[in-house]
Amino acid sequence: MFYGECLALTAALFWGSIPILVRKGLPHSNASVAVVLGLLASVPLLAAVFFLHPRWVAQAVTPQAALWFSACGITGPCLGRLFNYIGVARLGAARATPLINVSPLFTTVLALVFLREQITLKVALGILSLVAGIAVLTGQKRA
Amino acid sequence: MNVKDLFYPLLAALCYSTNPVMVKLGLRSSNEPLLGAAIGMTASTVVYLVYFLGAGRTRELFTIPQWVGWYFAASGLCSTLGVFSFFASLQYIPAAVVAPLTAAAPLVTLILSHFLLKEMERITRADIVGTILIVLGVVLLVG
Repeated sequence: MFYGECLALTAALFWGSIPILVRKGLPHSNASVAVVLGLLASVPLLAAVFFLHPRWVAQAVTPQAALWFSACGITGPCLGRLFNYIGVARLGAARATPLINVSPLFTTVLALVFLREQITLKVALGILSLVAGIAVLTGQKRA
Repeated sequence: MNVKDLFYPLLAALCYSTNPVMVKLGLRSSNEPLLGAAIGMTASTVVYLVYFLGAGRTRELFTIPQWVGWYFAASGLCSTLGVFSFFASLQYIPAAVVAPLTAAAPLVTLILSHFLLKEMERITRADIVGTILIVLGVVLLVG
């Protein structure tokens, strides 16, 4: 009962806590160190996934798929996280986090331009709301 | 707010925006989302470690206060556990329900900032309105 919803909200709780932890530590260090230590801390969890998975990774994943997953890792947890933490250091956790989360705006615009997807009312309202949110957040004077 | 300050969070958003496409391409040839996430994070750990150690920055890891190291490690664990919760939620409910729920992460950051970063950040009314507009926009785009 509501397991899926609870797990999705747990993910939001975990992801929403990250900028707070990083913001607390950043005045004493830098974003690069934060990224390295964060990645190293997850190594045991990643090892558990590889060892507990019923199939050996080379049998379950094709080289082509592994390449796409690796590229995703390099742009996401590697570069994305570094810029994310620099953003938190410069703007603060509360102001940088919503801006970082506008990524669906880029995905949608790319899909509209390159895949020539149809723009629906829901998508138009979503874009409008995101742009308004960015304008409100960035329009204010630095606190 | 300085326009230059926007550069890093939006660059992070741009990096993250490419992920859904690459994940989709990877899953097309190997439908193993959890292994895919683990491969991506392993690749990012290797690449970032090579850069960090190659740039001769190892010393930085040992010059930070110990508690800062724990905070950064906890941020990395939160990220990985968030990914695991996200994939686990997909076992119970469709992605169209999961995505809007996980989009609530900036609201979690906003609330936690108010209570835990009192001495570092002052939350303004514009922060609250801007965050709500962005979350609403993401929900409309991904829901």
